[in-house]
Amino acid sequence: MNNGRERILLVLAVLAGLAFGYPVLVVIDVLTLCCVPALLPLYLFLVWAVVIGLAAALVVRRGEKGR
Amino acid sequence: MGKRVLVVDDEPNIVLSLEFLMKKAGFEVEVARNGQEALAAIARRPPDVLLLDVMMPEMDGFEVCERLRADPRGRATKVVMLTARGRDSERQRGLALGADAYVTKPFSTRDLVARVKAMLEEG
Amino acid sequence: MIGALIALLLSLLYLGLLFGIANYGDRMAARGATLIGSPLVYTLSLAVYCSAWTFFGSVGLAAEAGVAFLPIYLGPTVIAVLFPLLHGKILAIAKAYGITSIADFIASRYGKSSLLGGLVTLVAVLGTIPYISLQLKAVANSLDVLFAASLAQRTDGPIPEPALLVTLVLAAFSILFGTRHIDATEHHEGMVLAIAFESLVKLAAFIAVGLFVTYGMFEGFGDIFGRLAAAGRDGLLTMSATGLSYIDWMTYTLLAALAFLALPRQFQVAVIENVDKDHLRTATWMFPLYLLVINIFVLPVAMAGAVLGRGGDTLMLDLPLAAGSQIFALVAYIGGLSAATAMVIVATIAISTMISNDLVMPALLRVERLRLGQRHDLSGLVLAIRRASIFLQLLAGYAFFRLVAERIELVSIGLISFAAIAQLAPLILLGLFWRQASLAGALLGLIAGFLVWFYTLIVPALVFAGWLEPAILEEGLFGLALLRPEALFGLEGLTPVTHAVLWSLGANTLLMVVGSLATRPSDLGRLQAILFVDVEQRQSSTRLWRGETRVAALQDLLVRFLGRERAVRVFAREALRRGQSLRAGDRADAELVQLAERQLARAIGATSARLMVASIVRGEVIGPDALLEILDETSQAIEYSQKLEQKSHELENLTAELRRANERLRQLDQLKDDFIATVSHELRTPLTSIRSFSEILLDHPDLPGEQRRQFVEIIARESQRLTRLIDDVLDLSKIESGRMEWEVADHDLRRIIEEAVSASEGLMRENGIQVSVKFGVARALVRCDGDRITQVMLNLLSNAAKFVPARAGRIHVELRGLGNEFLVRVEDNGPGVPPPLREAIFEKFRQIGGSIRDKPHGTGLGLAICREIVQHFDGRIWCEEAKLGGAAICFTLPVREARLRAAE
Repeated sequence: MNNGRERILLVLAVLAGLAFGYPVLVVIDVLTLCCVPALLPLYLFLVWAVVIGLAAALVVRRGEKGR
Repeated sequence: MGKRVLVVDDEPNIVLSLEFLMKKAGFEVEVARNGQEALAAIARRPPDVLLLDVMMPEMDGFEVCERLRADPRGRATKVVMLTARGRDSERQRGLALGADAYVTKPFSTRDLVARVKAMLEEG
Repeated sequence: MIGALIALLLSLLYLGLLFGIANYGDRMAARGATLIGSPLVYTLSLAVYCSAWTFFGSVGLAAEAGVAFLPIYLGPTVIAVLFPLLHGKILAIAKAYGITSIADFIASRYGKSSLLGGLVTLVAVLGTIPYISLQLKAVANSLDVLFAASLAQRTDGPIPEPALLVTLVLAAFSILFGTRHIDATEHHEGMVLAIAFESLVKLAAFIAVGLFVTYGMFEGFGDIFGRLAAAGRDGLLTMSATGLSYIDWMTYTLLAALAFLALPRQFQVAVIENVDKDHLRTATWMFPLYLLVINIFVLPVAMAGAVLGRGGDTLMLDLPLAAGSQIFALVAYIGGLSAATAMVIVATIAISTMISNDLVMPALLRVERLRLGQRHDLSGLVLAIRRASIFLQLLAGYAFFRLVAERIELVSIGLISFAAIAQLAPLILLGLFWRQASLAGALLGLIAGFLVWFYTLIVPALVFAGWLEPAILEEGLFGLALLRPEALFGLEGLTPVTHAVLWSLGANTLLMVVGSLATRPSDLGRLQAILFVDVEQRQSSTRLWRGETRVAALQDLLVRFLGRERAVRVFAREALRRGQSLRAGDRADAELVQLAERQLARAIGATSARLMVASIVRGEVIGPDALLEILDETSQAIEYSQKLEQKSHELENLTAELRRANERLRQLDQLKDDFIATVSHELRTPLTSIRSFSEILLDHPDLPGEQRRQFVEIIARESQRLTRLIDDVLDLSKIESGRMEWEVADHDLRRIIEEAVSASEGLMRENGIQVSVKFGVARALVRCDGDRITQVMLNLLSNAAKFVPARAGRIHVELRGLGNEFLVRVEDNGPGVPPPLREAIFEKFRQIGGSIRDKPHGTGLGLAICREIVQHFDGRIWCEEAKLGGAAICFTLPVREARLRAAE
């Protein structure tokens, strides 16, 4: 297994954990209340999709390199 | 006519010391550095005493002893096995193959010489 | 109109279809055509994570608390990103050592402890039963809703006890599904195929109902949201609506992540049923994608419910029914049914393997009176245990449902289960990455975590269900306020689940770490720790064999557990691989014994397999840590026999066991003897010369001066040889046992070579040897212990010097770069090493000499030490033909940067 890519995945997991974390969500919550309705679920699903996309890009590229 | 001793060991220093001891004790000494040489020397003329190391590469002392006893001319030779692994099972194996004595290294030179002498006087 | 009985009929049809799919998958697998070879099927099978809780519970929760349902899916998403790291390693371990379940995995890691295996099984069972009852409850509730709806239109009497019916049908179904053959690592291909199909069904059903609600009952997302805002309920989409604090939110995410890692059913599909390690890569992104898609319509449906003033766990059914669509209600019902059945099938099969392999079989095998060790065919017994355990699990799930769960929400039951299962996560994670994690720590941590879980979650649940006095919640155990189950040591203001998870996982991890640091693991534990933590490096480790058993004995053993056909097939395949037949009377070699143990482990788990193989094999398999393992076994056997002695007066049949343990002790002693005998031979040889010549000198004071001198020189030389030998033996045993202290720093290989060459200049000059050196690089920075690598160089140089022809010797040393490594070659013009011996010269006490030349005066350990040192620094060492005509010993060391990278 490629060490560099494993490390990037680890970083991605930590970043995802932070993005799903409460402190960020509180900020989103404030925005929801003042101006943008329903921002919270929108934000969560968006980050979710981004994380999946990044993970896919990482493992797929790794696969090509491995071959 | 002096008695003849054949010394067989793959360690040159041990051969040297045994050769010295046996000569000092008044025997005629021949040396062999492995099993093949030993068998060749025996075939030429069986010695009266065979000082035989057990652990040698290629052909070990047990095999030499076995072949010696298989040859009718070698029956009279006294065999003293020398070993650096003093296990009971090996001692029994050596004696079963027809060795007359079994000596564990490092040995007392005086005892060894006395033993060889006694052996020759008996038979 | 479609009545409720049609729902029942449809359920049976659906289950029939599922069974057909599984059967088809199994039949194809038997013919060698796998249908689960695609990463898509693997990913879909992972989606067994989404049970009825997802299907019904999420919506129910979202209708009341907005996005509070999401942490349960965000946790696994984070874990999925880590698949290549975590599951990659777990898979490598599971495949290398024939792991059959999570209990087997954990027990093997901590020294194949059957006590720990049993405990893990117990925790898994207790954590899974509430979860099963959750599925029963969901299916039963949805049947109730359908019956109620149909009652309004028809006069059919409802079936009095739908939950019991569901239980019995699912039990029969799981037994049919999962226990057709006994080998637990041979993949249940049919089951996986069916589970993947179920994942598709529940996803399609959820999306269909979601679309119907969003676009059939309303006019899209905007409409639902607008009406929610108009009803003044748009606060539902804020964090405050979740009712979760900062700590709650994070804890739930962590809890879901850990549970996802440790759930027996997830371990089953992700690890045991995996057919190709590469599938993990696809699953890394596709599995979270599945989670994302199945959750898209949760909020719209929940918001629709909120607009219509409805809520609860059956919202998925209620909404279509309210809109008059029985069709979509049925679709929702089938989706929920498929989610529930998938969970129940996989979970009960996984748990039944654990119960039979880690709980019942080890216990039965130890009971002397049953004489199981001698029974002819045990595969029937194993199957019976598994079937009974599946049935009992479902029955227990039903009991829990009737006694407790009827009064609690789906989500709460799910979280209680998760919190129990999460107790296994520290054992897995620390076990994977921390070599020191020991059995004592694992036991302490698991027991503590589990007790806290029970006290903080189950006790309150029992109170709510009316089985305990509420006093304990208000006043605490023994009236001590500090011991209130929901506010332990005064920790208040959290949800009960967060409170329980923080305390239980905290206690678990803390005790595990403290326990591991405070105790010295057994040697077997240490060995297993190394095998697990360093699995990537350990795969190819060769094994020696000194035990004794016959091929026939091994085959009989396999026949007893796997059945004749399978056992014969295993041996036939092995014979084919070797290209020679295995005759029954032949002595079995190490490889064959390991093959048999692995096959057996797949059927009855590593712990039991080890017991069984040990019972027929005299002697023991000896690994690279040969001595360590022998010593460990000896001390285990000693400990065992001491324990037996204490009890021997109680039961007379224990004396037989004592005899056996002693017998084993004797055999192990013999192995230790062999090693010691070799060392003693090597020590006695120089001692013999020393003693002989000393005595000669003593007894013959009149020797001529020249001869005296010669003898004293021999004594001096042999003393040096003895010293070298002792040094070497000590060095080697230090390295092998891992007690060598390495002083690692950056060194220039060039300098080391120059120093070694100049240090051996005297020796070379004395023997008339010509030494040449060629450097292909200007600087060769490596990270290593400079003294040790110098020792390697000196060893190689003096080794070469021993073999070159007298007075015409030539030695050539060369250093050059080779990709990520530096290559050092030491060539000589001696006789060389014939190809078949080129491996052997690196073994302990393997000297070549004899016919080629007189016995060389080395210790026989030099090259073995060189190999250990070079390998310690990730290098390789080998022997090949030299351009000078003799032997060339080559070794490599990684370039400093490459080694630093690898270390990270």
